[in-house]
Amino acid sequence: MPLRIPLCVTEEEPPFVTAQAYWLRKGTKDRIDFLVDTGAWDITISEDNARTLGARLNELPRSRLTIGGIGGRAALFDMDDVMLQFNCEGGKNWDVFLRSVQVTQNPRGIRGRQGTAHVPSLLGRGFMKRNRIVLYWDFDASLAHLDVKG
Amino acid sequence: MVDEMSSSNWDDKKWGMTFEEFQKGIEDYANDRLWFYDNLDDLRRTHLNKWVAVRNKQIVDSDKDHDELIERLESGGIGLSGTHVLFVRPEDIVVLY
Repeated sequence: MPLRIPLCVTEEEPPFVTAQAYWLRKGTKDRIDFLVDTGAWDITISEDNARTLGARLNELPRSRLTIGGIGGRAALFDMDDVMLQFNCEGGKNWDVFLRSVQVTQNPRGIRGRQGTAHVPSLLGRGFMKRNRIVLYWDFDASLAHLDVKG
Repeated sequence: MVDEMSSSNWDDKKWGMTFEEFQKGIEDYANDRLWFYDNLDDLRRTHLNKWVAVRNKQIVDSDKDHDELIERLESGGIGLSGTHVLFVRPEDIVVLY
């Protein structure tokens, strides 16, 4: 029986899921909203969310990867030893350890004129594939969930 | 490592909170984001083109400059942890993810 993680659905953005995140290296924790994004190649953590876990980009190694999209490019940084906990249906939770996860730098526009150029934390394809996750999304009924086959 | 647990084998000491606190924390945090989108039309009238900090279903601070807002949250009493920082965009702008 797979674990089912309910997703929150709005009209304004893809479904999202809140996870409890732990940065084991510093012993810090905080909650993170991940947008479930099948267009994203893997899981990423936003710079803002990394900051609440106590990680400053100047303390993290620059990733060999760069993220690119319609809005331009953003630098990536590597954050090691992150644990995520998801709340599942039926009074259960699912924990997953990330040996390394990429942090997306906020695109730096002209100060005070950054507009909407901002990359949220994303839950993308690589994460779903590695963890054998099936995404169910009924657009018409505004229902979505993730099934973790394990 | 992939681990499955439930409330029956949750370790309060290991995670620094009870299972109920974990569940409530997830729910409250998600509800703040949902509150933002439920009230987006009203927020467009009051905070259009601004970054807003949402906490406990309230706007606790706002700024046109994202970094200024982040710095203020971190240096003030509100804190960035547990706070959503979201952009109130005009109705005719859609965002691709």
